[in-house]
Amino acid sequence: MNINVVAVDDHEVALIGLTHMLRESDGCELVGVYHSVLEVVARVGDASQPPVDVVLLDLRLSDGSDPFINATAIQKAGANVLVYSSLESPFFVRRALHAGVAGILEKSASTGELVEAIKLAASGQTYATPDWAGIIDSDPLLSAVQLSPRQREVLELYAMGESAKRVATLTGLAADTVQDYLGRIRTKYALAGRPANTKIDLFRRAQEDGFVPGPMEK
Amino acid sequence: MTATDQPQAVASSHLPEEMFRTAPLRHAGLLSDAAESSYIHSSTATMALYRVIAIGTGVSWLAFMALGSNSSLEYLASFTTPPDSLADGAWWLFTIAALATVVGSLIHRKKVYFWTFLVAGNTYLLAWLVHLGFLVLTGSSPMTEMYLGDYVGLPIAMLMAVLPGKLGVPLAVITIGVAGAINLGTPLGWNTVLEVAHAEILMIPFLVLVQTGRQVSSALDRAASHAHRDAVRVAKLKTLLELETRFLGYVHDRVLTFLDGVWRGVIQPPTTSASAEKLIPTVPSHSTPVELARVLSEMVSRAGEVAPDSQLYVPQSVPPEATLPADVAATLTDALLESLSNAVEHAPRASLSCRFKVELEEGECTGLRLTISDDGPGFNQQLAPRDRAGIRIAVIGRMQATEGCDVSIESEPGKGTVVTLSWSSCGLTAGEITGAKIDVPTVYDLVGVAKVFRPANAILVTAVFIGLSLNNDHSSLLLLSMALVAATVAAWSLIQGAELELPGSYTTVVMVSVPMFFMCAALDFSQPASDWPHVWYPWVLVLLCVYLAIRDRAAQAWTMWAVCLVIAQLLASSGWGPSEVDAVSVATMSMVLLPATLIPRMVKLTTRGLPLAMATEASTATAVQLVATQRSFLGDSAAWVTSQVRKALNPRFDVEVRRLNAHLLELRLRDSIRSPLFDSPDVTRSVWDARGRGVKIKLLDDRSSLSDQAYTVSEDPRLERIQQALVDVLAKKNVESVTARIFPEGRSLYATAVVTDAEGTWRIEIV
Repeated sequence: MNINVVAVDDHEVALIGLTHMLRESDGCELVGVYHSVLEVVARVGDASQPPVDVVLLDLRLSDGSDPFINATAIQKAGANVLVYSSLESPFFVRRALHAGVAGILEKSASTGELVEAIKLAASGQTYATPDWAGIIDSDPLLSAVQLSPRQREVLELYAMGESAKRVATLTGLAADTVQDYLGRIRTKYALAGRPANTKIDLFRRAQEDGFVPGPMEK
Repeated sequence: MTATDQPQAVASSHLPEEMFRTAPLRHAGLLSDAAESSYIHSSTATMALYRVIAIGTGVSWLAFMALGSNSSLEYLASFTTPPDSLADGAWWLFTIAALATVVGSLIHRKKVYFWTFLVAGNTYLLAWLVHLGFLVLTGSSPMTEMYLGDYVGLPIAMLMAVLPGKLGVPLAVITIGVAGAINLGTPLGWNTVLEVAHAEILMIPFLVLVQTGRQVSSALDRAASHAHRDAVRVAKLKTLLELETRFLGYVHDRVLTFLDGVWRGVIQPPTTSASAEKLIPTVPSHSTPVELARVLSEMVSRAGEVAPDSQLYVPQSVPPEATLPADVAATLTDALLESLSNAVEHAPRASLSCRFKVELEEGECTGLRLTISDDGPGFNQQLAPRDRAGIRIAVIGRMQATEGCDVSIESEPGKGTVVTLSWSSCGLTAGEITGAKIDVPTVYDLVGVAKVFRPANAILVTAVFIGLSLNNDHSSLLLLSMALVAATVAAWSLIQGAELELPGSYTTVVMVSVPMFFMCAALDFSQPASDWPHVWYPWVLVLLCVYLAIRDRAAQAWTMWAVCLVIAQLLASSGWGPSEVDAVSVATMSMVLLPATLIPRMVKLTTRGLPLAMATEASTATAVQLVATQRSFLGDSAAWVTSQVRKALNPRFDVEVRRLNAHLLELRLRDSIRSPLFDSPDVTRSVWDARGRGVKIKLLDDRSSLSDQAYTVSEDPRLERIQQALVDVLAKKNVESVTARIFPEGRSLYATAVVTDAEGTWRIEIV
């Protein structure tokens, strides 16, 4: 059974590239491309159309919307979210991770990596990469997430670039347990996400983190 | 290139060196330092002092030569005909030199001051040496009638102003002493001592003024430069960080997407190198705007939560298109909530109100003022307890960090508290961001009178008075004693007080005692001495008047002087006093009163304007610096990215090669932005080539991800080790993937590199 994917991006070039990649893939089908989150939320919630399993979300959209709010809205509508973006400031990525997205994937990723990530996200699992782990591990407020020592160890090994298999070997944990830990880390991080729902709060948080979000291209 | 059938990206060795140059994007610290090296040292205070010296000494020198010295008639006569003697030539040169310094003060350039002072001072010194040479070699000098010692202090003061360090002081003391000794041709002996002592005590206040003024103004300029440099550094870092963030936004939106499109074949590689330049548009420089109405509504709603009983006065409506910069909105909201919660905590029963005032111009919000007032117990701002002081620190600190924001807190015990938070779109003027508040010293410090008007000096001066008096015969020991006691009282009074201005009571004492001294000395006088001072007491009078004028009592000094002139004239006419000491003869001895009056006045005027002058200079310089920094950053960054794209996508490469180059360049740009600590030419080159061979490489710099740390971590020797380790690993042919990570601060590991090759996976750890 195919996994239905939609993408939100306001770069036409990126959407065309994505269409190409998924057309060649096995098991994933791009069923829609959109420029705004509102359109995607409407599409995900539209029962008359085939259900959407995974939404590929660009972090930086031209409407200036907040990744946290965007990801939350899509997940609430019933789809898993995978961040699919060009390089971003850790501030934006953390905003999305606080919403509990399945993982982050750079746009420069290969088709294989893209499909693997989509498959994991569709099954509700966590797509853990060094980028993902590094962003969480280097969060100055990581102590507020209250990870267990084992979870910290797993996170740090992932951030180093160790593979799931090697992490299991190095920690003496079963592969399933490692995957389970990743899920817990993801959930705890999302739960510890400081609620910041207005634009003003967002800016304040950005300033606290040392990041002021860049401008939107208008 | 490696030999395979597949197309390959261009190897690093076939690309220009600058392709692997470190990105300027993350090097705000370097940029900032570079801009600082071109920082112009502040010289406002020194220039102000030079102007005082130029006018004070130039005008006084001319006045001395024309009116006050023993040689005034010769001086004036020398201009009736072309110069035909050594003395005439010297007069001409002196006149030109003095005029040049006065004109120089109008030009007000450091170099002009330097050269006019140096030339004028040396012209005098040369004449003085020629005169001395004649005296030593021939026993007489054609320049004797010039009485060079009469005004020696003025050109010497000019020299002191420009000679390095303290060299000027001994030079001045020696020159003045020798000039005093040979000025009148008095045979060496007791009178020489008197002449030298008199010349020194008369001139030393001026010399101290110049020397101390120079030290103080130079210290002041240094302080101004430091304060300014710090302010500029903060402003530039802030500007650069913001610019950097915005620029990175563009690189992400435009460049990386474009390169990705090229790699995936969605976009054709550009056919001309000029196309790459179109990628870098102008970067906006303002914070993202948010709707004013929304901001106000949120402020009101949150204020209601924090202080439910407060009265809020909000504008009925604001134009829907009016906006406020988002960072300003956040700061003002924070400050408002903090002020309200403080009021609620410290004045729980007080009535609390908050008034919002919006300033609009053609539908645009140009200012916002929030006034939070309560009629609670208030507090003494000077003695505020820690928690109340906390309000000031928290609110003021945040507000000051935001462009265009200002805050004021007014509170007194029993009179409530008013906190005013404001923002103006005129916002960030260079003056505001400099914050370069410079403590300008008092006139007293600047003039350096504290060094002169000391008890020891009063004793010395009194001793000289007694010495001078001994040169004349006396008719009445009682009158002489009374004269000396009165002069001593005046000298003692003149050293009182901690300010430049002599206290009123002591001024009165001086004004009473000096005429008394003058009268007693005149009545006591019997006959003139053969050597200088022929009549002692007018010289003492002039000295005391000079000291009073320097103590910022010029009017009183001149009044006292005039009274004594009247006394002299009355006594001379009536026959009670010596006929040689009439008003005119005393007046001709008094020319030194002119610089004594002029110089402190000018110093006072100058120091009054100094804070403004320094602030203006600092604002102008800061504004220039910021513009230069922005241009430099944008110019460098844009040029760097454009150059990279142009080189990688050079049309001379095959289309397929360009496509692969685009991919490698995209990854390289990501690395340079995401992981600046790995952005060294060697690493970049190795990574480029390894990726070209198909090695999967991930570089994660989690140490400098907080922008403000990026400038300090790059000096860590461990960085070099991980970079070298990476280069070594990537040089191996059987490597399949490498993930290198630099850890955040405070971890046991500095960096790791997880390497997978044909033999398995292994890890490099840098502790």
